[in-house]
Amino acid sequence: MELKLTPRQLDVQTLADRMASEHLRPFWRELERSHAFPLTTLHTLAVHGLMGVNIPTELGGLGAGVVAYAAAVQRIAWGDPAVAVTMCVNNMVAEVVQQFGNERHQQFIPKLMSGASNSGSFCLSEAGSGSDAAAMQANARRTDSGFVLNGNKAWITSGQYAGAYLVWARVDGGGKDSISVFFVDKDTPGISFGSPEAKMGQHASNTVVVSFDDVELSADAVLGEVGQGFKVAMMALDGGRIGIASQAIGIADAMIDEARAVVDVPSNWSARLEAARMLVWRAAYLKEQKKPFTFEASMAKLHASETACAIGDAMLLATQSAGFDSQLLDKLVRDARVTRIYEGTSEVQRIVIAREMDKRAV
Amino acid sequence: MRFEWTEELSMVRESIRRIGASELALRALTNDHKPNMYSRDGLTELGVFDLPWDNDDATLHVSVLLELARYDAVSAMDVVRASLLEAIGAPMDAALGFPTKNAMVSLFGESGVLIQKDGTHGFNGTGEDAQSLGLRAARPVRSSLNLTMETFPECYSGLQLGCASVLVGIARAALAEGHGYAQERVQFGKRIADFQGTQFKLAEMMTRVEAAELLVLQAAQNQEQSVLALEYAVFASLFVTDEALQLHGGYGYTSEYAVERHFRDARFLASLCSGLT
Repeated sequence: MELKLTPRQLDVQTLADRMASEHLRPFWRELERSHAFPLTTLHTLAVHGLMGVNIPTELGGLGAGVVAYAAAVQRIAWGDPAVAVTMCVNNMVAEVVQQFGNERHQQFIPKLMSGASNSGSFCLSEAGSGSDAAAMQANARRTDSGFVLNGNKAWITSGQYAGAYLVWARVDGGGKDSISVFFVDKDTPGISFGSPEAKMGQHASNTVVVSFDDVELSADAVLGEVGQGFKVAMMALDGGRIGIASQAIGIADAMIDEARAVVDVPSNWSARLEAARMLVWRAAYLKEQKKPFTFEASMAKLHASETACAIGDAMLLATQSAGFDSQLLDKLVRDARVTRIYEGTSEVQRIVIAREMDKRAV
Repeated sequence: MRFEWTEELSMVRESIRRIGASELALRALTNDHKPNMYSRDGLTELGVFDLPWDNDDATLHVSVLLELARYDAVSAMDVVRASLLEAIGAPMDAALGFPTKNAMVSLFGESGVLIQKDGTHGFNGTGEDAQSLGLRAARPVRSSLNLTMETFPECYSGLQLGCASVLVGIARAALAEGHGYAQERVQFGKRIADFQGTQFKLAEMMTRVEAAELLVLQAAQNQEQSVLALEYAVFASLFVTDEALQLHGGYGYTSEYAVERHFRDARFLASLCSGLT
């Protein structure tokens, strides 16, 4: 038991902290107003390795592991949570492609790592299937040369800007065990976008419907094997939860910092934040050690996101009642709210935790 | 970072678990009603009262307390007392005193040592021995403050961390009781563990116990975190013991089930600790 960050992990944390202080925090207001997708900022983060903290150096990543990734996301989210979510999805997409993609798919990773491609998208949810991902309607019909993909994917982060899409669909209208994940290059004909969602927060992240109309894919567009898709999605989301939990922790850090500048913050809020942070470190550590971490990631994501929102409400009331009005705190409260929804709602996390508890002693 | 238990810590936990499940849990239930019966039988042999308190790395200590408090919170507080008295060279039969707002509450007797942040002191006092909310087998005594001795600031974070660990152990015990009961109890033709209302409670309880445990373990290696670990342990243990009792329905309100004691012990210890945060 050694519950401190290693020097390498501290280095990555320091790097992310510098990025946040120099390239994110000074510009949050501008991005908040313009709703612009921060291409230059994302490029800067990529150049410093933050789009693949857990991706091997041979593929252009930092190769620093999952704990370092969690540390980096916390600091980037402190700087601007909306940029952090784009970073999280990029890291997640890169990891899925690295783990399940063939050689052709993997050529995308160095582009994403270097910033040549600013983002990748994870296309799982649909208008009618959020938590119940297996109920998706998107379909890939087999043809002589491969597949023809049709479907509409909803709430897609970075959808308009992505260099490549990971798209989940049934094959030939089959059941859950036909669901497969396809690598779709942005230049493939038949891809179109809805207009960006008008969201409560996370303004600098791009969220759109991505439509696939008769998109022709070669047979090697499948990541892993046909029918493996649902399993890949669940594995990816387990890892994704560590990212979102880290984002929530970083937001809470920023909220407390912002409130502390003007009022005394009772230490019980710091206590709750530090406890949630420990859950995040542990889930990240287990993933890094290639041990099972589904249960621990759900606890981390549940507690970090719920705690961040509770802290936001408390800091908002404390500062307002002391006569201070912070637009940054307003933004953080709005940005934090979605951490209890995406990558599995809090209710889904509780289902995952309870299901596991039914199988083990506590 | 490394989260695995070392072999040494696993063995210590295992040996406490063995005596805990076979003897301590039952004894704790009995002693709660007959406070004069408290003894260190079986535990002295394990050496838990001779552990040196290490301010730089209290992982061993915290591990012992987390495990022991699951079965017998009073013995766990006795370990806290023994190690802190040892650390300051106080007589080993002295009581451990907690400063609260208007009075002084001592565990295990009427006079002894009070450890306080801003200049720690000893105390003497004649106490009023009424039945307390919790930790009854420790014979808590309330007395007026009468400060006499010199300071022991080096023990302050140890006291915070020790109490935090015991609170987390109590919470873990209540979680296990609630979890076990939910899997057995059948209503409306199914286990109450199969109702989502129950599952959501259990998931929240588990999450907070795990978080609290990790935070005390981290504080064991960085004692500046002790106060935060204690604050969170109070928050988590009050919540978890309450929900665990609720899961038991009417049975939870009776002394037939240990969860009723966990509920009281957590609240009693948490209130003693109000002067420490």
